[in-house]
Amino acid sequence: MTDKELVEGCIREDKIVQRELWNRFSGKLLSLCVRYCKNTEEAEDALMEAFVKIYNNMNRFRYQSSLETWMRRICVNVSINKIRARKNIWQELSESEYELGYKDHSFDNLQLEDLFSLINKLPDGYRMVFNMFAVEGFSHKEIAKELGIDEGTSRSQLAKARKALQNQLNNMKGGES
Amino acid sequence: MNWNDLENKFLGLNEHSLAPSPSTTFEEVMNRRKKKKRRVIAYWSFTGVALIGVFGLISNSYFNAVNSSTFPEEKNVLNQKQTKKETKEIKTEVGTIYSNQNSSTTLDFKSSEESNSGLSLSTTDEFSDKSIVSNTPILGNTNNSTRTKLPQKTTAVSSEAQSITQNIPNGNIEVMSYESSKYISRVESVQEYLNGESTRASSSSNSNSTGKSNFDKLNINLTGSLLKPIKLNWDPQLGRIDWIDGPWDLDPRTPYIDKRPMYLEFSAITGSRSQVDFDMKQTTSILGTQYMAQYQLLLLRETWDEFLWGLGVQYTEWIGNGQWRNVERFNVQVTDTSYRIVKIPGQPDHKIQIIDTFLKEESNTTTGKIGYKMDNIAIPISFRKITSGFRTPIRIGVQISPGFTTYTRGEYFSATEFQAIGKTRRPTLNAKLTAGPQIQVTGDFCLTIEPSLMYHSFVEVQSKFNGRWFSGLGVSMQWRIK
Repeated sequence: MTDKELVEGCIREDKIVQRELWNRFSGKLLSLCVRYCKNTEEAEDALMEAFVKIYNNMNRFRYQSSLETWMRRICVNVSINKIRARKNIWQELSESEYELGYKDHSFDNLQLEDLFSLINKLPDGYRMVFNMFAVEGFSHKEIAKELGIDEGTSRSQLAKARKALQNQLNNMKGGES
Repeated sequence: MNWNDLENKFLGLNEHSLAPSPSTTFEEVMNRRKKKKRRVIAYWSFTGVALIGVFGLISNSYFNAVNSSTFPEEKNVLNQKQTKKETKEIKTEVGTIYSNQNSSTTLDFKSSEESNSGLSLSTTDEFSDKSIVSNTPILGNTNNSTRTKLPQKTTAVSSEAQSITQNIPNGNIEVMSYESSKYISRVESVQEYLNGESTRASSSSNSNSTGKSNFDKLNINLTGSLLKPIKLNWDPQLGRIDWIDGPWDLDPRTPYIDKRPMYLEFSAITGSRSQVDFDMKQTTSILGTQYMAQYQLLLLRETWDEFLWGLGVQYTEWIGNGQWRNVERFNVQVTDTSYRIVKIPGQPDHKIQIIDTFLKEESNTTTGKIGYKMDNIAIPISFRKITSGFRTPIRIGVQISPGFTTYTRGEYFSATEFQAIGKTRRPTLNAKLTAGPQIQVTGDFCLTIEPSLMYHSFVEVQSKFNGRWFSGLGVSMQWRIK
């Protein structure tokens, strides 16, 4: 079933097509939500909320991107809204955390679960910007627009996310040795 | 290894897939969808009804105010004046009273200061034909001239009268007649009657002596309760605006010109201020209601941190109508003379003259109707700040509007004074403080319910500054135009 058939079927409220859309994309989109949200429950809640929006707004899809990209964007927005409901999204790293050097040992050996773990340990603000920039491929301008912040804030949050990841990798390395 | 190497590792997560838990199913999504649809329908139904109600209230209170202000110049009807004369009796000297079957005694039961103060001008109560006279055997012996129609609700007073009169020796009780007393609205008035005081209530028409007011027909419409703030119980989740409300204060903020949106706003608001009773302590007092209806069109620009400012045009109508009352108090000395026959066994009867002197406080009460209408045009300078509370976007607004009057008529009044408004164009200054929930209707359009505190003022010809505070409620509609 092509994207167009999926879109038209959902607009017609065809339950079979709607279920096909769910079956095809729910896994990938859940993975996306998990990267943004604190825990799996919140991520699943965000996923279902995102699908409600997708079904309700399917007639607004203009084929300017792939259907998956459009759905991912909706999932990102819903996840961001979930995070916003919490307070203190934007955090600063302490000076000691900044001072740690970057070491590239054993980075290639990281498993998928480790990557998820690394991302989930990031503060909300860092995680959002890092996910959007490094994983989703958003530009700083797009991130700024999506989050309603300046591009400078987006850049600084990304830099701090990198530092935090570096710190976590060092800790991981230290734990192994 | 550079940052790209680090980030490239995470790029693989893009294609990663996770299996949802058993509770996260397609059916659950569909259930949520149905629930959301129901909530949206309920929300918009309620919001629609609430908005219609608010507009209805605004228009109703405004048109009531407009319709109730009729000016006598247009009808060429003379001023109507009601005059009520009150008396207060102060006994300064009391002669010795001897009990005698044949003697005539002027009764003075107690001071009537309290009862006098409660005398009402109301003439709306219906009364029965039952009189206190029939309930009190002693008073039943009185002259027929004392028959007066009294209200049914004076039973308690009647029993009080019985207890009082039982302590009085039998005799001819002289009670002054109650003139034109078809209508008594308060128990205190009955007490006055029982106290034997003279209370006169008369009305005169076609007297144009004061020249203070020229209004012949003004309904006092005290509808302050209409303007009570209305609770709108919308769901904050449904009305939530997808704007950022987080603390974005990590870096110094530099506003970008190209990011500043502009808005067009139209708002209608109405306010009122009521004086529900005369001030009894003042010689001149006024009761009435003043209304204010305001319409404005604003062009707003967002600057930073959801702070907006703007300029526009404002049209305001002020209407007031009410009733004035003037009380002139003066003392009159009254001398009351009576005779007593003193019988002493074995001696001839002695006739004694008793002279009582009273100082009566009398008052003339003059009432009339009053009203005014004023229109003005102003340029509002407005500031808005969007914040949130109770998970609802709340807009706080402050504005100040210098302007000038375009139409004036009647007499402007406060609780204790009034004066004619000059016909010439006068400078005005309005201010408004609002805070209310904002409802996002579409991406570019939102409504705000605005409970507000408004101030209007103008400078009189004699450079006298007149200002009033009003409480009000309004609605504003805001479109994003850029």
